[in-house]
Amino acid sequence: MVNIQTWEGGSYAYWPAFNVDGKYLYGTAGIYLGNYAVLPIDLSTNTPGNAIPIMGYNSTNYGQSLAGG
Amino acid sequence: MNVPWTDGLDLHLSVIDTFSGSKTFNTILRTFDAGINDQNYNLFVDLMTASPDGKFAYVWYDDYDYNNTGRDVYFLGIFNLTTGAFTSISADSLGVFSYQYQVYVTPDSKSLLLATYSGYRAGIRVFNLSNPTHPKRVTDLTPIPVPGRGFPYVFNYQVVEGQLYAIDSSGIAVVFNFDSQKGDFRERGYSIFQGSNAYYGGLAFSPDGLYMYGTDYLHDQVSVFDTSKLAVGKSSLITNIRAPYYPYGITVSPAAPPSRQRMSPRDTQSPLRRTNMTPRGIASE
Repeated sequence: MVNIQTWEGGSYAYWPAFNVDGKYLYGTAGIYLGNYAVLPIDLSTNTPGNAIPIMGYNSTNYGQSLAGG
Repeated sequence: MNVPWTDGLDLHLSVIDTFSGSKTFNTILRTFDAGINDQNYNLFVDLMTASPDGKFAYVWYDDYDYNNTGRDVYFLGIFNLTTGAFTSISADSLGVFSYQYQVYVTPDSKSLLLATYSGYRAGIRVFNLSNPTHPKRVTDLTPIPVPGRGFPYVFNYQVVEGQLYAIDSSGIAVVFNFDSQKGDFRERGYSIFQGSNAYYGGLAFSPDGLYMYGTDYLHDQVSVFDTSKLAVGKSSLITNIRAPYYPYGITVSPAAPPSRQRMSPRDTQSPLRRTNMTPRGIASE
């Protein structure tokens, strides 16, 4: 089991989703100053990659917020 | 990868390239706009799923009707992921509960399942998606009462290998047949798998349907169940996997499972020996 630290200033990483080949794991989160981002994790190294900023916000909490390969 | 978001005024869906070999990997390829234009900025995104065929995204959202009814109205929004066209249907029109735990599309992309709730009874409404933007009601599934527990609150469900597994978060599994061709949705049975004060959040299955994984978030663990025993009331719990902290959402990796040669001798003594899979490659939040 591996626990991966979230990004500095990051809050919760919500419902996770794998990409199509299972090499990356993605989550969504509210991050610093209330911005919203998709957070990729490289599962070959178990390290987080650069957050992908999303405009606006996502109000999902414990629900599905990412889908598709 | 599809991600819904809002600026309060409109609903949007961004498509991210998650193919690791692509030059545009981890960048937003396009963003679709629903065109709702709520001048009161009261739009909220609640849930989303994409049809497994990748053609449509189904978004559960709500919009507070500040000017007229004063109600917070919930909707199913449907994005055509090819054209970006958007269609919206209210929860009232669909006859389903406003507060959905999930929006579920079956693996064949032919059926949509949404929760109903009336008179303290929860159920599942099955819609046909022959026209993906106009779900047509097929039937309602209501579990029979469980002695000592009453009607299960089945707000979490998935279809795997022709079976519909519906979970009450307090630890009841109800199993239905799910054959939309024959119209066979009979309840096969139920089981109670609750541990002490256990409540289950997320739900996932191994690709072969033999194992169910549930997040027992109050005990920081993922429970693994034998699905063949869920309908017959026998002890279905195989093991618990420690998963700090407060695991809730869960998903199973699409990557190939580890080979049987990599399994430990202990694994071969468990029901897991029936498959090459071990409960690896799962992720919880």
